Parts: sequence; structure tokens; C-alpha cells
Amino acid sequence: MNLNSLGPPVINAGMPYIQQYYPYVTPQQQPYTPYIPEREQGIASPPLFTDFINRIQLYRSTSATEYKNNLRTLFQNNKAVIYAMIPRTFNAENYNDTDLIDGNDRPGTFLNAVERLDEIKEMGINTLHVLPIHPPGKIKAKGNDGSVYAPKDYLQIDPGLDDKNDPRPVKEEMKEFIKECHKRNIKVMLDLPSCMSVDLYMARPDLRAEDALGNPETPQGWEDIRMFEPWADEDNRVLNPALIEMHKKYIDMCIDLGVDGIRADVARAKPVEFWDVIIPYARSRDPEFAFLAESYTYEDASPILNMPKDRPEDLLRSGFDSYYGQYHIFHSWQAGDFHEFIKENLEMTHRLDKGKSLIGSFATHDDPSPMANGGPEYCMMTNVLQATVPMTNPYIITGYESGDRYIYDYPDTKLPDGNKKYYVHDEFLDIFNLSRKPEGENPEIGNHFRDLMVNFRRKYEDIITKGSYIELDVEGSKNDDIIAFARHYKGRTILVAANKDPNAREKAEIKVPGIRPNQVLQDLSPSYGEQSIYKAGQNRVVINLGPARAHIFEINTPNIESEAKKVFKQNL
Amino acid sequence: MTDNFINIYVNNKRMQTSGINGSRPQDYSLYSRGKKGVKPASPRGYLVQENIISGAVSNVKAYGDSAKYLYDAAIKGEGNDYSVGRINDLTLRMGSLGIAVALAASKVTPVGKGMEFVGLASWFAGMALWPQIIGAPIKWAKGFDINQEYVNSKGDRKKFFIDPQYLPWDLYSDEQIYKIGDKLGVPKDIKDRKTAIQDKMKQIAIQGNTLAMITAGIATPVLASIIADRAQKYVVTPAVEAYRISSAERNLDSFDKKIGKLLEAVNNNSQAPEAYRQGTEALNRQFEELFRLDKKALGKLNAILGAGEEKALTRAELTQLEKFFEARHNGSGAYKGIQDILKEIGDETQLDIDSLRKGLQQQFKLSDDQLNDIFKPGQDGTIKKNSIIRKTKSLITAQLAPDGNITPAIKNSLDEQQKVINGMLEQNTRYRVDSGRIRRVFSLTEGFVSLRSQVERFETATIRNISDSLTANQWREVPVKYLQSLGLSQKQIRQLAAGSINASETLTRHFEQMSPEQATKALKKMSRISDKAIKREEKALARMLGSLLKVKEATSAIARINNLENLAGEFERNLNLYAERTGNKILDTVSSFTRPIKALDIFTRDLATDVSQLLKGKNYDITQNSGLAFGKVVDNIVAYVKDIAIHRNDVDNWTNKMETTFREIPHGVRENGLLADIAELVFGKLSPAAEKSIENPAMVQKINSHNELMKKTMLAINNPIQPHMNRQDLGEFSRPFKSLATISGKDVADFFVDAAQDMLCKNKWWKFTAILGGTTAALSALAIFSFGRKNSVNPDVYEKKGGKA
Repeated sequence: MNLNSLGPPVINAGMPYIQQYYPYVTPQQQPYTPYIPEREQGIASPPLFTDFINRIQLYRSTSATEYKNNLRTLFQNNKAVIYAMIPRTFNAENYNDTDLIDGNDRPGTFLNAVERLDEIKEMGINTLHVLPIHPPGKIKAKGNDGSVYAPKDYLQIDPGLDDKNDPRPVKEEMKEFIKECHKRNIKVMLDLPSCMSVDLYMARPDLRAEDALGNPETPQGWEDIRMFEPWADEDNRVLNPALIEMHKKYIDMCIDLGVDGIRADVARAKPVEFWDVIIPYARSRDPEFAFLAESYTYEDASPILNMPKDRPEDLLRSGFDSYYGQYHIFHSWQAGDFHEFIKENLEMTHRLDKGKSLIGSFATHDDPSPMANGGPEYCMMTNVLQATVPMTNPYIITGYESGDRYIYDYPDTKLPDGNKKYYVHDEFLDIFNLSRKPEGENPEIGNHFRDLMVNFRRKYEDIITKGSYIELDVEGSKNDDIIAFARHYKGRTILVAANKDPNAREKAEIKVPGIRPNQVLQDLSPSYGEQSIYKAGQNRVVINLGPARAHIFEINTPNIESEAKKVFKQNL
Repeated sequence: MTDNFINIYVNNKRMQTSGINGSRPQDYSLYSRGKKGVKPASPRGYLVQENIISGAVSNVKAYGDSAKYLYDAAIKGEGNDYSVGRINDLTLRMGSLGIAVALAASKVTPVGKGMEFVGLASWFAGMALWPQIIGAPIKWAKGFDINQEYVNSKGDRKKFFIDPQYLPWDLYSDEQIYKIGDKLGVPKDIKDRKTAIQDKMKQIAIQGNTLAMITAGIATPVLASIIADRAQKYVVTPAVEAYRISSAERNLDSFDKKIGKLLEAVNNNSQAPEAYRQGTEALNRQFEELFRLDKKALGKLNAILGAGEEKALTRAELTQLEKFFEARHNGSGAYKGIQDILKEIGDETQLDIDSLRKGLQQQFKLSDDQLNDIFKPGQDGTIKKNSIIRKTKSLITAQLAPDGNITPAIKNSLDEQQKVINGMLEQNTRYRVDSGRIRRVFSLTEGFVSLRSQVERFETATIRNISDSLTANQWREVPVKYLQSLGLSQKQIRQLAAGSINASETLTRHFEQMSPEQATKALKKMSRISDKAIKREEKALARMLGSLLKVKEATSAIARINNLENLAGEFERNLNLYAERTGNKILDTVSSFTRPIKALDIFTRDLATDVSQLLKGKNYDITQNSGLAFGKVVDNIVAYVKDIAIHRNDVDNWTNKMETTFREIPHGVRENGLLADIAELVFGKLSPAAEKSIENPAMVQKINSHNELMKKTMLAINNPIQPHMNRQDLGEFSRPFKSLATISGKDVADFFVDAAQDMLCKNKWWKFTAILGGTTAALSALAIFSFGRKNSVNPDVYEKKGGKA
């Protein structure tokens, strides 16, 4: 294996050093052993070199097992576990009293993001959703740095993400970051913004969407961005070639960087015909290039001005592998709504190509922190649900794992035009300002998530990713707050019971066909919060669940599919 | 052959440099190349396409949905902006209904009550109709319906253009949009034609909805009033009338059946004593089944009479009994009979000897022997009051004047004692009453009142002069229809409406100026109208009298069977009066409705010839002594007859012997012959021309026979008052005949004055509504014409395909 064939050399200047201290050997002959600095051996050595050597080692070890993108397959098999992060805040260091990153504070960069990759890996994450990395526009920008979704140039990377101490250009640093991810078998999914900044709007008239009077089409409520014009001739369904060209270049750039897939922000902003061109193009270069659509539900009830209607099924037909769904409003559902949502989506998969899926969008950057819905117990309950529901790839956002409530202490400074300088949505992850690293005071949430993903989900992977979904009847639940379902695959069954109410205990009886009184109910999920009581009976389980408690049991009901009434399966 | 890498690179480069101004890109027009790509799926919502019936069904279903939303919100606490908005629609209507109910409760007549709800419905109908009225010409002119509704994926039904910021355009097919664009005149060769058409549609819809809202303040009340007015005339009034009549007829039919069975039983009742007695009891029971006896009142009666068949009533009890019947039946028509029966009780008295004896003993300190003597029966075995008084008085006298010297003081004292004795006798007198008989009287009179009231209910619905009865409705419609048939101008109608003074002149002039064709047409119409109206009245009268007769037969028969002859007589008398009164009312209506026909006939026939023939060879004062030539006399009498026909054919004039009409003959016409001739002219048969115009022989016969009756009736006044032509006592002797006013009908002039006033009022209202509504409609039409057109605000600058416009 020739190092050079893998792309530009990682370390050009240091090659003589390497060859002096660590002769090149073929991967087959030299298993990876970490280089132990001499100071740790009791011998002093230059600290800078330590890092270089370890990087080479890792690089060589992963090059030994050549990296292959399989993100699409992960989505199709419901095996992606996703963590959303914003590079400019992911590993920022805040040395002063404010939540802003300013002065001597250290902003997040690609290179310092690498420091947290092991932590991410340990949580069981295998996919990163990297929010947009382009330079934000400055005209009519919101926040002190502009929204990451208002890019000035789709084909440039924000110089703010460049590590000033590293001589490499930011693009190379990003590649380095992606490689580090791949070494840890973490896929990278880049966020493709849906619109353009005002700067880009001014610069590119060929991309503009304007109304009959020549006014720019601005999505309702998002005054810092402008819509793209997807059509050259809408009547004959001829797409705008300039838009296509730009996005093709974007795809090329992504693939060149090593990106494994795209998360399309507000995917409905562009028509299905557009995606029907771009997605095949991407897959012509990388068949495993995955596409995740930010799309929620067939939308008729809450329209947005100047934004086309949301049609998730159309997007999945045009090539998207997965979409957001509506878990972000789970807090407003009753159990019946939850089951209805799952069923609808499972039924939808039978109208589409195999392997279409959802992500566990209980927490997104477009919604308030789930901590506001019921604190850490609520979050942990959603962890259990994410880990067990069908056709769902678990998904969390940066800061969630430690219970960040996204409360920022920004000063209330006004700009000359009257807008706030430090613009942010209350209790939302900040995408507008250079702000602190997202973190809270409840690391048990992340630990809980890790245990579920690493211990439970891997052990019961087949049932979770391929099994049927069986809605179970519940009696005695006052406000329909008890969610109960079973997953079954090849004779094995797990039972999930959750109390949606974060404030009160719930007693109920779950009808479980086939369960016997001698069934021992051992909770497979990590414990938290108030204790629950549960006991198996004949064809039922009597429960008394603590507030926001969720439990997983493996039960011996091999015939549950034939005995239950409401059994649904994904089209796999 | 696959492309090599160089060619791929070159082609990519070409695509990158082409841009929007370059050659038409190939890859991005999937459909033009015939390549099948992904297209958006069909929408889950749909445009609503309904006809009147399905629309009405949808409206009813919508109320059901609203009720469900109300339940979900109020009870379950569930809802969204759509469902809560729909609750508002429902509660608005419920609140309005509540107001209508409250207002209806204060109204007296059924039509008045019904119109409160009709008014409510009319208002909402007006609100719903006006946008449709605006939308119809827009649809015709612009090719689409601004009131188009759709159902979204959630099943919510909304107006398509209700929110211009969110228009579900995917529900319209491209074909539909382009067709509308053709109608709107949007050029076919422009870029983004579909968007241009949609923008134009949106603009027109906003303009149309704005127009509807601006004009709704005027249009809705106008529409509502028109709807309510028409509904009252053509729906509510006929419906109420029909319902009341049919309901009354049904009740009367059922009543007739029951009473018929009773009469049959009466006729079949055996004359053998025992059987007769048993039969009487059975008949009494059968009679009591015809009505509901007031048990409470019976209880009060039994409290006075006691439980047995006989009782000796005290004076106080007798007074109570009299007061009981007075309270219940004074004015019912049977009270005199009851009074006679109660008087009989007063004749049947007996003394309470024990009580009287005790009283005398205590009062006058009499010994047992003295008392025994007082109460010793006479030769006939009875104890007479006079004997008691005499003996008691004798004893008292002996006490007060043992020496027999009756001084004035002793006399006074004796007189006082006499009063005391009388009082005691009165107090101890008992009135023997046959309780069973009195109960029977009670039952009979209650039955009589109840049975008669059942017939009265029918009369109330039909021929009584109260609101919404058949007669009232006919009196509201017939005069106006008569007036319309005369062909008067608006000016003449106004003159009529001004009052009687000008009315007769206006009518006279109009009648005289009518051509034979106009007269024929008018006579034909009026006769048809009156024929229908009179037949309905007479039918109702016949029906009512039939039942009334049965009531009379039944009540009087039962009374006689129970030996209550007086009562039977009272029943018959009362019911006869009732029948007569009702019959007179109908006669009055017939007179009123036929007079105008006769009056028109008088004006349009050759009256001069008729008068000449009548007067020829007769020596009347007016022909012989007036100094006028015969022809002039004829002319004068023609004028007088016409005058009488229009406004002097009333009882007053007949009882004054036409004093106010004949100017040449002061103090009225003395010659009976002339009066008879006048009567013949006024009440005579219709002329042949009139008969021909009317075309209905039965109606002709009816009018002629009625006039004949009226002629005889009016002429019959003449002889009794003739000797009293002196003005001073004429009034006194003509007074009894004033009651004939109840059958002589309404004065022709007054008849048409009332009709003209009614019509004028309606016309004013219609005029006002027409001006208001018409102006609004005209301005709206003008505005609609300008919708969607190019102007300074909407320059309609389009970009041609492939370059600038």
C-alpha cells in the first residue's frame, strides 16, 4: 500500500523525522502498537512528535483495513446512531464569564473536534451529523457570527473553523477530521443548507427565487436567508441548471472531502425532480452516499409562507434514505398518537423501496431542549424509545448527552437596525453565534444512552432493526400515557413499557398475548429515576411505573405475532 | 460503447459553463427527453364539487362535525385552530336560535312566532348567499369560483382562497389552471405562465372577497328581508294556515266520531224503566268519556254536597253551591239553566227540629212541655214554620205580658224576639238537595262547555276574525288581489290610499273610464278570487255547523234523559245563537267580496236604460214634481245608484231611506216603490255582459241569490220605519235594524282604501329594497368588471419564454 495513493501526504515536513525514527514497513508486517513517548518510558522526547507518530500509526492502521463508506446501508438497516454537532462550538473552550466565545476563548475547529471523537465513539455513535460548515453571510445576519444555515458560498469552508496553529488550509483540516472519524468507524454526514444568505443572493442572480414583483422569496420567519429558484421553466418542469450545477459541485466537494452522506436541510425547499437528479449523481460517484431529509409530515396544517409543502413520502421516493419524522413533538402526544405515527410510517415503507427509515428526532436543533419537557428522566425515557422503536436510527444533538438546556447568558445588545446582536431562540441549540461548547450538568443522560446503544441495542440488534412492531393494549391508564409495544423476530420478543408522564406515576395493565405468570421481568435498560413495579400475569403485565420511566424486558412469547391483533412490519 | 473519461470530463465542463443563458440544458428536463423521473404524488386533499343536494347534505354534516368539535373542546379539552373556529360557527347559530326562541315566546300568533325563526334563518341565508351572488358573475367572467372550497389531508373543509398566503395550488390540475388562464387572457407564450395565472387568480379572489365583505353590510339585510318577506307570504302563512286547519279538521273528525256514537246510543236507549235507568247511567258514562272532567272542581263540589245521594244543606252551604256554579259557568251560556235548578233547591226545605228546639230552649228558657207543644205536628202530620212562630211568640208574649197588657215597649221587645225566632228558623232550615242530580248538572254543563270549545277550536283556525285564521288570511289577500285586477295606476292607488273622501271619486272615475275589455278581465279575475275564497269559508262553516249540531243534540238529549229540561233548553238556545252569529259572519264576508263585483257591473252596464225602464209610467215624486226632464231624472238616478254602489250601500243609508243620497228628496225616499226600484238596481241580477265575463254559472247564481237575499233584507227595513219618517223618532225605530250591519258587508270604497294602503306600504318597502339592492348590485358588477385587469398597481409585465417581453 502506497501512502501517496491515498491522497496528499498527511505530513510532508515531518517525513524525514518519521523515516528516521519509525521506518516504513508494510501494514501486514507491522501490527499497530502505540508509540509510547520516551518521557513515559522515563525518557524525555519532543511532545509535538508524540502526536504526529500516533496519527501516523492510526492512519496506517486504518489504511490497513481500507475505509469504505456504508452509511446508506446503515440507514437501510436501521443501524445508524447519529450525533449532530456544530464544528464552531463542538469543542470550544470558554475562559471568561460569558457564554460567548470571544477574546481569548478558543472556538471550535475541525482539529480540536478530534479530541472528542473518542468520547463520541464510546457513546455508541457511528455517524456524525455535521451542521453546515460554510462561511455564513453577513448581510442581515442573525447573531454575532451569522446562522450556519445562511451560507455565503456553498463551495467554501468557513475560515473560522481553521485552526490558526496549524499551517494547513481549513479544507485539509476538515479532511483530517473526517479521516479521524473514519478511523473510529464514524461516518460523516454533512448538512446541506436549503437556502442562501443575502450575500449569496446578491452575488448570484441566476439562483434567486423572486415573486412576480421581483421581491425575493423569503421563508416566513427566516429573514436572513433567501429561497433558491429550482426551476428554469416550471411549466415544463425544467430545472434551473445553475442550481443543479452548484449542487453537483457541492456533492463533488463532499465526496472529495470524504463525506459519507448529506443531511438535506428543509428538503422540501427543492422539488422532487431536483433530488431525482442530485441523488443519483451523488450515488454515481459513491453508491453508499446516504441522504437524510429534514422532513416531518404530510403538511397541510402548518404551512410556511414561500416554502413548498412538506411531502416526506415524495422525498423518500426521490432517493432519500431516511427522514426526520415527528418525534420532536412526542411530548404533546398520547400513547395512541405514538402508535399511530409508528404504524403510518411502517405502512408507508410498503409503498416505497425497501429500507426507508426514520431518525429518532426527539431532540433537534430546531426544537427546544427536551430537558424542558421533563428533565433528565424524560430524556432517558426517549433514549429507551429511540433504542427500541422500529425503522428508527437513534439521533441526539450536541449537549443533549449532558442535559444542556441551551440557556445562554448573552447581553441584550441591540444593533443599529434594532435587531439583537446576539440572536438566539430560547432554549434552542445556538446556530447563530460563536458560543460555548454545549454541555450541561446531567452526564447520566449520555451514560444511559451509551449503555443502551452499546450494550443493549447491539445485543438485540436483530429484533430492533428487523423485528415486527406489535402495539399492545393498555387498560387503566388515565390519560393514555402508557406506551406499550413489543418487538419480535424469529421467536424472540422484547417488551417495552414507558410512562410518558414526567410528573406522576401510572398504574395500568398491559395485555401481552402469550405471557405467563412465571415470566421473570428483568429490565434490560439502565435504571434511573423512581422505581417501578411490574409483575407478569396470564396474558398481561401489571405495571406501576415511575414518572417518565421506561423499561425493556425480554419475554418468552414465541407466538406473540399470531396471537396479537396489531402487528406491523417494515419493508426491509 | 461507454464514454471514456476524457469525454466525460469534457461534457462536464460544457455543462458547467452553459449557465442559464447558454444552450438549453439537456439533463434537467427529464420529461422533455421522455425520461421517466420522480414526480410529486397526487395530493391527499381535493377540491369540493357539489350540487345543491350534496351541498345541503354537507351543511347538515358540518353541523354534526361542529357539535363533535364542541364536545371535544368542552369535555375532552382537545382542539386546534380549525376545530375551535368551527365551534364558533355553531355557537353563533345556537345563540341566535336562543334569541329567536325568546322573541318568539313574546309573540302571540303562530305566524309571528314562526317568523322569528324565519328571520333568523333568512339572516344566515343572506350571509351565505351574498358571497355566492358576488362569486357567480366572477366565475362567469373570470373562469373560476372565488368561493371554491377544498378538503385537506386532515379532512378539514375550508375555502380555497381564505388565506392568500397559503393557497393549496396542487389541488388544481395544470389543465384547470391553464384553462382559467385562457379565460383571464394571460398570454400563452410567457415564462412561468402557471405562476402568473395563479397570481392573477389570487388577486381576483382577494378583490372579490373584499367586495363581498364591503357590500355585505347592505346586501345581507336586504337579502334577508326579501327572503323573510317571501317566506312569510309563500311558506309560513300558508303552512301555518294549512296546519291549523288540518289539525282542527282532524280533531273535529275524531270528535264527530265519538259524539256520533253517543247519539246512536241515545237513539237506541230502551224505554223500559229498569233498562232506561241502566241505559241512562251508561249514556252518562259515555257522555263523560267525550271530555275530561275537572276532578279538582268535582272534589270541591263533593265537599259541599257530601258523599251520598241526598243532603240537607245549610244556608251557607247553599250559598257556597251557588257561588261555585257562578264562578264556573257565569257567561258560559248554561248559567241560567243552572240558576233555575238551584232555585228549585230553595223550595225543598226541612227544619232541623232538634237543633231548633235546643235553640229555643236556650234563648227563651222554655220548658219541655212548652217545647213539645210548639213542635207538635199538625193534622197533616207536619210541623209548620208558622205554627212554630205563632206558638213561640204566644209563649213569649205570655212571659212578657202575663197580664195581657202589651205596652209599646213590650211590643218592641216582641218584634225583636220575632226577629230572633225568624233567624233561628232560618238557621235551622235545611235545604234538601239531590246531590246526584247536582253532580249530574255539573257534569252536563262541564261537558257542554268542553264540547262546544272543541268546535270553537275549529272556528278559531278557520272563520274567526283573529290573526292567522283562514278568514284573516283571506281578508289580507282578497282585497289586494281585487285591486290588482282593476288595473289602477300608482297615482290612483295613492289617491285611494289617502282615504275615503277621495277614494269614491277615484273609483268612480276609474270604473267609468274602464273599457269593456278591461271590465271583462277585472270581473273575471274578481269572480274567480271570490269564488275560491267564499267556497273555503262556506266549507268551513258547514263543517263547523255540522259538529255544532251534534253537540246540541247530544247535550240536550243527555240533559233530557236526566230530567234536566231547563238545562237542555239553555244548551239549545246558546248553541243556536252561536250558529247564527257564525253564519252571519260568513254572510258578511260574502257580501263584502261580492259587492265590488256588483258595483263594477253597475258601472259598466247600460244603467240608464235599466233606470228608464224601471221609472217608465211610475208617478214618483222625483219624476213628477222635481221640475226636471225625464232624461235628467234618469241621469240623476243613475248617478245616485252608482254612488250607492260605491259608498252608500250600508245599513245607515237604508234605515235613513237614502236620505244622504237623494239630494232632491230631503229626509229620504218616502215612496216604497222607488225604494224597491233602487234596491232592484243595487241588488238586482248581474247584467248579461257581466255574467258572460264571469263565465262561471255557479258563481253567477251565487252572486245573484246573495243579492236577492240582501235586497229583501234591506227592503224589510222599510215598512216598519216608514211611519216614523219624522227625524226625531226615526233613529229610535231604526235602531233594531242596525244589527244588519253584521251581514251587509264592507263598503266598496273602504274595501279598496284598505287594500290600497296595504299595497302602498308594501310597494314603498319594495321600492326602498330595490333601490338599495339594485345600487349595490350595479356597483358590484362594475367592480367585478375591473377585477384582475392591468392597472398602475398591477402592470402585468410578463417575460416571454426565451427572452425579455
